[in-house]
Amino acid sequence: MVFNSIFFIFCFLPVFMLIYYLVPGKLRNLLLFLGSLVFYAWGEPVYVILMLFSSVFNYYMGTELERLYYDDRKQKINLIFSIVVNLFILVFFKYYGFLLNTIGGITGIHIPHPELSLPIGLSFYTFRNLSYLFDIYLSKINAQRNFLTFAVYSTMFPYTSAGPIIRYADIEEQLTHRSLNVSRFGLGAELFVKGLAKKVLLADNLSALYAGICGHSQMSVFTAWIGILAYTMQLYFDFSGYSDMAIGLGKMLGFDFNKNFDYPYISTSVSEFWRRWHISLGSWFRDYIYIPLGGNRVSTLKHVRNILIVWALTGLWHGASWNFVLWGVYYGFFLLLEKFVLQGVLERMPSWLRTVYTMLVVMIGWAFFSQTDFGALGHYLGAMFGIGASSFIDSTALYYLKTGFILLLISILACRPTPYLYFRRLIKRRPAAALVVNLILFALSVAYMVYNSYTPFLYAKF
Amino acid sequence: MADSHGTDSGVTGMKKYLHIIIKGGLVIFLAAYLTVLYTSDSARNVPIESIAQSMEQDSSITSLNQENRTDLKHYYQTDDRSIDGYFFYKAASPMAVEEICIMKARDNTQAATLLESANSHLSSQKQVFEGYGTDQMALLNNAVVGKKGNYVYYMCGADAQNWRSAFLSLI
Repeated sequence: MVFNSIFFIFCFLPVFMLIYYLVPGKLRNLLLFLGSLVFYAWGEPVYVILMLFSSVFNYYMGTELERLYYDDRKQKINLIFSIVVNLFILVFFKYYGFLLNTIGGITGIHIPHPELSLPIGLSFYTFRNLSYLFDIYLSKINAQRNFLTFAVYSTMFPYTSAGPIIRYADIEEQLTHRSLNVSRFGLGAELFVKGLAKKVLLADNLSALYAGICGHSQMSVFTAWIGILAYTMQLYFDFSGYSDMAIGLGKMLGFDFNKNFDYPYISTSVSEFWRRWHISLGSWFRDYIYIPLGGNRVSTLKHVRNILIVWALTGLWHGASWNFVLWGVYYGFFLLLEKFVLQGVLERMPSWLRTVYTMLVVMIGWAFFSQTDFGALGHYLGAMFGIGASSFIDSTALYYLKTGFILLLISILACRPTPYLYFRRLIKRRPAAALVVNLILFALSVAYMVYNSYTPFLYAKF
Repeated sequence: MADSHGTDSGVTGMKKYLHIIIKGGLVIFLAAYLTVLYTSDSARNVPIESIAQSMEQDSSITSLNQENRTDLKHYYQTDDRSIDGYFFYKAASPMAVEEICIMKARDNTQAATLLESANSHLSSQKQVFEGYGTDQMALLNNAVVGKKGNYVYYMCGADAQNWRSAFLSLI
């Protein structure tokens, strides 16, 4: 099931919420667990077993790591065993085809291999469960003794499909004691509508614009840049829209999840961009890979190595394809460049110019992200810089500019904090008007959903 | 006393191995589950052209209209970038629901997305004919929609089951 479906919004969610608010507090975790299983099983019944296995396995290994607290050697062996099993599942579903193709490419031996579909949200719940085990090993948290409580953390439907990667420590208290009230519910519903509007009204329309442009075998420089701008905006509204919906649903259920996006497109450097984009993934890699490798408290050479490892892995996390690895290393390169070369230069530049520089790097980066085929990637990047482009500007570019101008303008405005600040002021001064705005956004989103049928979230496939 | 002591050490011994047994059991369960999944959802990598060549031997398919990529996009809301190839025949009359569509996704994740699109197409067809198109509804209720490996299929018609068997035997 996906959030942007009529069935979820008008059947699953109201029925679930009604029962959730009516049952006694003691039964809420059971209901949330069962509801999450139904939500997940709706699209992929066969993979609900995998998710349940992951919950049982990581719950048990959590208790084992705690039991072996005084036996360093055994605790370490058990941690390695847990990591191996969790990563084996991830590799089996996500990377083995990629590995076999790579081996085949190097050796010239074609290894036939049927591929399995990727269980939705596998990367997200694997990383979530791994963070739980790492934190027990590092004595940051205690293992959860109650399986149901852990299972709620491990499977909760708001963040199952596409994150954020919530840490156990962040919601440990709320898993057993959480308060429900009308004002929290209202805040959650407002966030949900905001996310829905971002996804349905902006991301899906931007997707159509980009898909239209990609359909052309020949394009002008200007067309290529309109396309990549549309994709840049689509990706942000798609993923941040999902995160808003997840955080909103969490609020409605009595949880407070940390934000996953903080207006990344206003960043004035690439490193700032990554502090604002997919915050939960960035902090996961920082805490569990970068810092254990030594972070920046090592020699310069090792520091460079650490950054490149983390960013290659970040790329690989997004997909089993070399374009994602290249995309990760591309960011690693710019982060190193900023750290060792550009820092002083950037500081002297005006803020708007730094944002322009950041957005150029980011937009070119999204080209690596959007094209999994190297031929298509080369063709698109070439067109952006005039190589193989039909001209600088042509009638196709003007057509897309004309038809997409309003959408792109709204998108550029909506990815900045100003409209939301105005909206917050409106809520304070005229709550009725704010309610009307939310209702209009909701009605428009529903109308689009009815008309456009099914459009999945981009990040759900990771 | 000796018996009691022996039983105690037996229990301790059992407890010592219990953790290993549980972990081993979990790994065996995972291996069995993955094996079943691997054997049930896998498909050979057959070019869509070869599939089309074989399927087009069936006159009940070729009696329908061959549709193009734009039609595919219209009916299934597909994204060109996710499709490696397709085979699409549909009845010419808008009042008829006979249709066969086989799509080959570029990867299995995109196949899952296409499957959602095919299911969504079936639901919208049912919405259109519900209440007045008795014959159409009978066919739609027996339509087959599924996924095997990277292939997604939607088949609706009196011969839908035969089409499905013929297609699955090819992959």
